[in-house]
This record gives sequence, C-alpha cells and structure tokens, in this order.
Amino acid sequence: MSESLLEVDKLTMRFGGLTAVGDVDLRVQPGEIFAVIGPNGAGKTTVFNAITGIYEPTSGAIRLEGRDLRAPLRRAHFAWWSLTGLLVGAFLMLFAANVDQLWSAVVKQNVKQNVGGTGFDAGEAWRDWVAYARAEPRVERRTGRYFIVSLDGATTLGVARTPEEAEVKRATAARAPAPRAASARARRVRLVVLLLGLALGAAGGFAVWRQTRRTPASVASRGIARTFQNIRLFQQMSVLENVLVGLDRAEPGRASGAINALAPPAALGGGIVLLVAALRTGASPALAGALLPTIVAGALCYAAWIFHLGAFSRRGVTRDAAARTSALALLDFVGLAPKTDALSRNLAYGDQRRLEIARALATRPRLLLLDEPAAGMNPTETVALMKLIRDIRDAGTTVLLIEHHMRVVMGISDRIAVLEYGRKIAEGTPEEIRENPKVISAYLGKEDMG
Amino acid sequence: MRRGFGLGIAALAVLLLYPIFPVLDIGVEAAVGVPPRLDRQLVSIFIFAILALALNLQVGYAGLLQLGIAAFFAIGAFTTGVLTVEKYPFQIGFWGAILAAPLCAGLAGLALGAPTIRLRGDYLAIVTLGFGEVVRVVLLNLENITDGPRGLNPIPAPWLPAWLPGADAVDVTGRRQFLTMYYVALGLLALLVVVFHTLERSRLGRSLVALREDELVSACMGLSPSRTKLVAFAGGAAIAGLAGALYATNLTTTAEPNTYDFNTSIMVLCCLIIGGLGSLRGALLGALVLVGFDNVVSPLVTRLIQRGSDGSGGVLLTFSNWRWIIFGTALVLMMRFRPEGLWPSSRLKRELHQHE
Repeated sequence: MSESLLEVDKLTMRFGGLTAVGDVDLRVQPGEIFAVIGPNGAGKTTVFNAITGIYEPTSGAIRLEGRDLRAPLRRAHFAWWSLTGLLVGAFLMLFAANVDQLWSAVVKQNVKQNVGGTGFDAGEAWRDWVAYARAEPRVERRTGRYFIVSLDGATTLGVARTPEEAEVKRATAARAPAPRAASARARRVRLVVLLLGLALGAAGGFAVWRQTRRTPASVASRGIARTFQNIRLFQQMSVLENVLVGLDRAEPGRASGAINALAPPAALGGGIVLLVAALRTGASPALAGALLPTIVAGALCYAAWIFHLGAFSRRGVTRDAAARTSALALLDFVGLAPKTDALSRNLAYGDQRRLEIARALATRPRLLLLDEPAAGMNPTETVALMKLIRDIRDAGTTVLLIEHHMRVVMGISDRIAVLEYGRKIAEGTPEEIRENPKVISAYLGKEDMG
Repeated sequence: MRRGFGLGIAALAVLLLYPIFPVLDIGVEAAVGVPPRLDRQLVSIFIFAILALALNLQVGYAGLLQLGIAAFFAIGAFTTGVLTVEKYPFQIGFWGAILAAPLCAGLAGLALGAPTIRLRGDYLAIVTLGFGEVVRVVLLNLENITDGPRGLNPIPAPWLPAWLPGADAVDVTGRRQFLTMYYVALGLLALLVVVFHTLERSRLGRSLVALREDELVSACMGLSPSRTKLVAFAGGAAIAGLAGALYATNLTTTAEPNTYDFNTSIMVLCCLIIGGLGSLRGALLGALVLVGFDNVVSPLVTRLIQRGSDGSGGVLLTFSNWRWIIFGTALVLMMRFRPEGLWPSSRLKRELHQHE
C-alpha cells in the first residue's frame, strides 16, 4: 500500500456526554475520490470539522502525508514564552516599583535642578536609576547641595556639599540597618512580582500555543481546503474577489514575504534607535539637526510598513495582476468565467456551489473536502458537478467528499466509507458498499425478526 | 473611481489654497459680521478625520467594535508631550514625535489586542471601553510624569529648516505655527487617504473584509484571523496616536487627560456612522460634518442668536449647549432612514439593504 495522503487514526469527538464520532479511521490515497456517506447525524460533518481544525479532537491523530497536522513543539516556542513572561513581569514590576516615583527620581529630579545650568545630567540619572532599581537610598541635588534621600524620596538621610562626599554618605546610609531592611523588603516584593509575571506570561504563552497548534488557518496553509454544507461565500464580494481571497494566502510573492517579515522589526528597531539617540544626545532644540538622520531612518521604517501593504510597489502590482490571472483561470475551470464581476450572492444556487469550490481550489490544496456539494442541485447541475469533481481529481487534487446523493457517490467515488452513529461500519469500493448488508440495514432499517 | 479621483484632487487643491484665500471666512464675515476662523478649525477637522480613518480601519473594515479610540489618541498626545516639552530631557521635537507617538500607540494597541483576540462584538466593545477609561485615569494619576490635570505644556512648535521663508522670525501672531500644522495635517491626511484607498484593493484589505463577513471561512482560506485582527488593532491605534501627536502640537499642550474621555471615542464613532461605516469618503465627510458643526457652525449660530437678544437666558441661548441633543437626534434619524451613512461604500450599502 502506498503512502496515504490523509490518515485519520482513531478519531474521537465527544461533546459533553455525547460521542459524535468514535474511533474512526480513514486512509485517503493520493489522487482518489473518497466519499464518506451515512444517515443524517452520523457525524460526517463533525469528522470534516475535526480534520480542518474547527474542532479539536477529543482523541486521535490526523496526519497529512505522514506528518501530524498539529504544529510541533520547537525550541523557539520556549524563547517566545520566556519573552512573554519577561514582558509581563517587567510590566508588573513597574507597578511594584511605582513608575511615577521612579520617573520623579530618575528623570524629573535631574532636570529640575539644572534649569538654566548644564541641562540633563545623564550620568546622575543613571546612578539614580541603579540606586532606585536596588531599592537603596539615592542622592538628590537641590540648590547646590546634595541630599541623601530614602527610596520613596520622603525622608532625608543626610546632606553633603560635594558629589564625592555625597557618594560616601550614601554608601554609609545604604548600610545602616533600617534602610537596608527597607530596601531588602522592597527588592523581595519586586522579585516576587517579577516571578509572578514571568510565570503568568509563560503559562499564558503556553496555553495559547496549545490551543492554536491546529487552527483552521494553519490546516488550510498545510494544504487542506474545504467547502461548507450551507454555502458560506463572502456575500458582498464579487465572484472574482471571493477567489482572490482564497489566493491571497496561497501565492504570496517572494518580495512581499520578505517585507512581511522585515517591516515590523525594522519599524520597531527604527523607533527604538530614535528614542535611544534622543536620550543619548539629551537633545535641545538646537540639536534637532543632529537627530535628523535617525528621524529619517524612522520615517523610512514607517514607509516600509506602508510599502508592506503591497499596493505601491511594482512587484505588488504585478503580483496582483498575476493573482487576477490565476483567479480568472480558476473561474474558467469551474465554468464561472462569464460571471466574474457579479456579486456572489446574486449567483444561481448551483453557481454558488461552484464558486465555493473555486475559492477552495484557490488555496492550492492537496486535499479538497467537499461537504454535500450536490445538495439542492437539479439533475443537469449534478451531472456537471460530477464532471467537475473528476476534473479536479485529474488535475491532481485528491477529493474527500460527504454526499447523500447516491448517484453522485456511486458514480465518481473510488472508495467509500460509511458512518453510522459516529462509527465507521464499512469501507470499500462502490460495488462492495452497495452489497454490504450492514450498510443496507443502516439506510433502510433492519427487518424486525421479533 | 475616476470620478472619486477627480473629486479628491479638486478638494486637495482647494484645501491647499484655502489658508491663502480664505474665501468662506470673508464671505461669512461680510454676511454675519463675525469671522468664523474656518481655516483654524480646518486643522482640527483634519486631525479628527485622521482619527476617524483610524477607527474606520478597526470598526469599518475589520468589524471590530472599538469604543476606546480616545485612549490611543491620548497615548499619542502624551507621548508627544513627554518627548518634546522642555522640562524633560528628551526634546526630540515634533518631527521625532510624529514617528514615536504612532509607535507607542501601536504597541499599546498590540498589548490590548493580543489578549482580547478572541472577543467579538459586545464583549470587545466593553473591553475597549474599559481600556479607554483606564488610560484616562492612569494619565490623571501619573502626576509626576503627565502633570495630572494640568497636562504637559508648552509643546514646542515644529522645527522648520532655515531656508523656508520666515522660519527664523518670531512667530507673534501664531500664523507660522498655524500654517505648519495646517499643511502637515493636510499632508498626512492626504497620505492616509491614498494608503487606505489602495488598502481597500489590496490583499490585506480583502482579508479584513473577509474577516468581517465570515471569520471562520476566512480562517479556512488560510488567512489567520488573529493576525488580521492584530494588524487592524495596531494599525488603527498607531494612526490614532499620530492624530494625538498632531492634536497636542496644534494646541501646544496635551490638555488634561479628561479631554480624551468616552465622549471623544463616541464622537469619532459618530463621525463614522454619519459618514458611513467602512467607507473612506464617508469617514472624511463625517469628520467634516460633525467637527465642522461643533467648532464652526455652533459658535456662529450662538453669536447670531445672542446678537439679537439682550443677553438674558444665557444657557439656553448658547447653541453649543444643545450639541448632544442634536447629535443624538441626528444619530436616531440616521439609523432609521439611512443606516448606511451619508456617503457609504457600495459594499456596505449592499450589506444593509440585503432584504430589499
């Protein structure tokens, strides 16, 4: 037996006490048309929803080309969780350390005292920052003298006349028992808060990762597309736009991918460079000229963001033209070429079904899931649909479909699986299924032998 | 589309020339005897139009009901304040601030968007409403940083290169400051209009509309809804931050944090509803109508009324005291008779009139 395209292994889906699907195995081979049939409520659509990531299976595995559909755990994830934790921790610590007081100690104090004097003293601000971070007494300069103040700035612990003397006195004050106990306590509180934030952020990151290992979007980008039992088109979009939405993920231009990846960090980096440069130069209005290069760099980064929208670049325009061509080709394939600009909800019912198929095909799937494609179609439309499904298979896309319409199922399927009450009761070629007594009794009921 | 293009160019040309030929001001002054100072009010109209475009990205295109846009407006304004006022060492000036303010507001948008990514409709509205209030109260209480109710001021005027005429002269009448802000705001607004115009036809624009129409299906097309939502959230917040930077610099103060309260958020939302949700031209029209009414028409009418009276019955005769009644009535009437707004996008018009 060749390698299966889709393997569903002991899939079980429970909703509360109800087992909608129990231990279902499916093996879909590449290049075949595989049908799932069964009475209403047998759990067919539930299987589809589990495969496409809309439901998270209670148990069981789903593999495409031998690889699990769930995203594997990578080392980078740990880095992300730690980063989230650190950010949350840092944020909580701002509360614990009282950001308002911190600002006053590090920024405000060091400007106020120098009005008309030497401007902002970055060195002193740094020393104040270190002292504040260590929750130790720090030096404040007022009216030419140096005051050693407690952590909250409320108590004066000493006065000095020169910076050197102030530093010595500060060191002595920091070693005194009462301030030492106070700063130790403050540091403990901050550490606890940091750890709490770290745990909270990391746990949150982990929880989010667990819940998003398999999402409809990730399954779709792995190469599984689907249509819906009750047609779900983007009703207010034109026929062409519907297909373009499908194409958007599948055919990203190489350039757009690179810009996608680079623009956000570039903009962020530019902004940070800008802020750091401003801090370092301690700019006065006269220094605006010196800041100009960084400002230009920041502006360029924002330009990259706007560029990222793709509509301004030549590549973006050609890419859009290419997408349009592929979309038209797809519409031609399903036979909707004359109705490109119609509003999708104004299409005839059968055409809406075809458009939904075209939209799914636009994601360039390896496996196409069709949920009752022939429902509500008249005989002519049904025949055309059967041809379309065969054409899709011949073009290289494997098809897995749910269908009640027996002529369609028996006419096009290579193999059929039958579900009843969430269990698979039979699998085989159309001929085998037609003769299978279990299937017949499932559909027609068993004669009561008393 | 071509007609829209011509109209846009014409409007831009008129607005570019307006400060030099303030025809309306002269006309109104001749007729009423009071100069409406329309050119100065146009700057606030531009700024609120930018804010409306920001909200339109979130509410109009992506369908995320956001009731706290004023928070990002405030973050932009106060970032500008902290980074430019003389009392703090940063002083990166207006040109640095219009880059830094969107960055900070955008990051705040990400920080709010990330944990609320799965909320929709009313729930998101409540969270954003709460966020708006939290930001306002935090700004009020971080007194050491924001100066609490006094606000940060004076915010210096934008630095201009020396070769511009009159760049060195002392700006006694405030004319230079006004002209700078006028053209900067107009330029940014025009840039954003172009960006949003192309966005509507780009893949990001399509994925936003797909998200609004059917989140599950857009996910099944491989477009990650969380990513799209975050882009809308951060982008809208960043643009609101830009508007905040312009607002604070135009006023030369961040104003008190209570300026950025719930009323402001609702006012911006009203601009969108009156103009047409999800419609670029509608957002612009809404800002013009609402802010224009508030800042130009109502003071003018007040003057007219009070000129004829002897000065008694003051409160009722002050027309601007009636503004919320008039806004409210206008909203009710709009919802009843023209829910798609005054100048809707063709797409939303269809959505609201499906059953006719």
